[in-house]
Amino acid sequence: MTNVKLTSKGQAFLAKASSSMALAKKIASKGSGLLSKEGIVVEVGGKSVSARSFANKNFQVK
Amino acid sequence: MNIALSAVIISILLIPPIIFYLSFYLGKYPRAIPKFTLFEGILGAAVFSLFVHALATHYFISSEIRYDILIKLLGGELKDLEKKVPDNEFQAALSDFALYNLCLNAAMVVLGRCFRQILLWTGWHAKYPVLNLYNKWWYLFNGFYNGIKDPDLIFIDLVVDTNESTVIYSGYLANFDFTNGELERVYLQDTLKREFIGTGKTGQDANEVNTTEPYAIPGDIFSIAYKNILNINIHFISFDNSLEEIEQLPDATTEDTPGTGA
Repeated sequence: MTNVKLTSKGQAFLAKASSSMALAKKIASKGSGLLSKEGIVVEVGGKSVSARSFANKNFQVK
Repeated sequence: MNIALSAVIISILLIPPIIFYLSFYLGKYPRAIPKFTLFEGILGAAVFSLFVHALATHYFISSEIRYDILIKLLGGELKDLEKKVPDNEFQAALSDFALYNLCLNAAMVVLGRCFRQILLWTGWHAKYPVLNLYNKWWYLFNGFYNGIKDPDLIFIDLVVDTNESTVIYSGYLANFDFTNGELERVYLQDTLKREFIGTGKTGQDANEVNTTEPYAIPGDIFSIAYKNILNINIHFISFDNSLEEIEQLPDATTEDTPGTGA
C-alpha cells in the first residue's frame, strides 16, 4: 500500500528494472532536459522511452 | 454535584459539531489537526451547537420541548424539581432528550460523510485550501499544486547535508509517511546518489547545479527521514510511449546500460 498515485504506465515502467534505472540516471544527470518540449529519450535494449515533465508548462502559466 | 450535572448536560449538547468534524475529516492522508486551546475548542463547539440545536428543534421536533426542566438542570436548581415535575414526566423528558441526541449525532455522522463526498466529487477539496481533506504533502506529491493530473511517475531529488558534504539523492517516489499532516519519511526506488559541488557564479550559470556523476545505491527501496532533508525537487513525469511499448521494455538488471547518460 502506497500513498503515491501512479498510472498503470508508471507502475509498468517501475517493474522494468534496467529501463527505470537508465531513465533515473539520465534525469539525475541532465534533469533540465525533462522540462523541454522534446523531453528526455532513453534507449534500452534497442527500444526507446520518451519522458517529459509537465511542471515547466504549468509554472509558465502561473 | 449540581455543577457537575450542568457540565454533563452542556457537554452532551456540545457533542454534535464535534461528531460532524470527526466524521468529515476521518479518512486517508488526513491533514494536520488545527491546534486549539481548550477554551477555543469549547467556544467554537458552542457556537456551532447553538445553530445545530436551533435548527433541529425548530424543524424536526414537533412535540413540546420541556425547556423548564432543561433550564432548571442547567442552572443547578434541583431543590424543588421533584415537586414541580412528576417522575413519569421527568422520565419521558429524559427519554426524549436521549433519543433527540442519538438521532442528532447520527445525522451529524451522515452529514459529515456526505459533505466529504461532495468535496471529493466536485474536486473543491483540492481547489480551496480551507476545504483540503488531505495533508499538504499528499497534494504536493500528487501534482495538485502545479495543476498536474495523473503523472505517470514522480521523480524527486533530495538534498541532504551530511558531516562530510552535501549529497543529492534522486529516485522515483515510491511512498511517503506522515504524522499529523507532517512528512516523516520518504521512500525512493532506483535511487541514485551524487555529491553537490556548487552552483554557477553569474548569469544563467547561477541556476546550474554542479554535481559529481550519479551512481546507483543497491537495494529495492531507499528510505530517508524528512528531518534530514534540506530541500526537495520534484519532477512529474509523463511518458509519450503507450502502455504496450513500456511493457515491451527490457527488465533485466544490468550494471551499465547504453544511452543512460551516466
